Amino acid sequence: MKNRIEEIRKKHGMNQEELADALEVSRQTIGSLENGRYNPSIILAFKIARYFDMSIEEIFLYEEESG
Amino acid sequence: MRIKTKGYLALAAGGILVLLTAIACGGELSGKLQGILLGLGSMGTAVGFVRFFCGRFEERHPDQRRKAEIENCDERNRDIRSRSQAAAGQALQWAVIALAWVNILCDGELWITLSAVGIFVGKVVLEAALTGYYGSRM
Repeated sequence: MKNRIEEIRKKHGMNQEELADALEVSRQTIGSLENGRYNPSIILAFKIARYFDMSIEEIFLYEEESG
Repeated sequence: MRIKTKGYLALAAGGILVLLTAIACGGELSGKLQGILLGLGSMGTAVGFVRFFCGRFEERHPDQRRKAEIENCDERNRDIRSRSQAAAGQALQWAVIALAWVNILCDGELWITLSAVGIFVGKVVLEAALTGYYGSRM
């Protein structure tokens, strides 16, 4: 699933380590989220959205899979 | 010192005690019993000391402890661990059946084949039971 985490994180002037500390996840998780290799649980998605004071839909871009 | 850290120190001390008992009473104990005591004593000593020193390190470096806790509870890490354990279990399960076949082809002992099959069936039954258990909980 595509997302705008990297873009939003950089806009807030944070690095991956700082965001990981704030969300209480590992830095590798943030890295995997940003490059789309890992999809977060609904709880983590809510945490991210709440942290940036945005809605989940503004951060995560759900696209229906074709075929 | 946290209670948990003290507990590991006690475990190490207990392990040393068991080791010393096994060595001191070596002549009076059967070989099997001495072996068991040596094994348990070594394990208790090793685990106790390693956990004790790890616990002390974490007490002195709370930021490291927090980091370790986060890494342990991190959902992606938990997912990776679960998938790894499941894949390893599957691989081992079929390796056991392969062992049974090799034993049959080599005219090996019957108990080896039966044990391998028993382990395979046991794993399948356990997996089905756990699937039902987690299915009802989730």
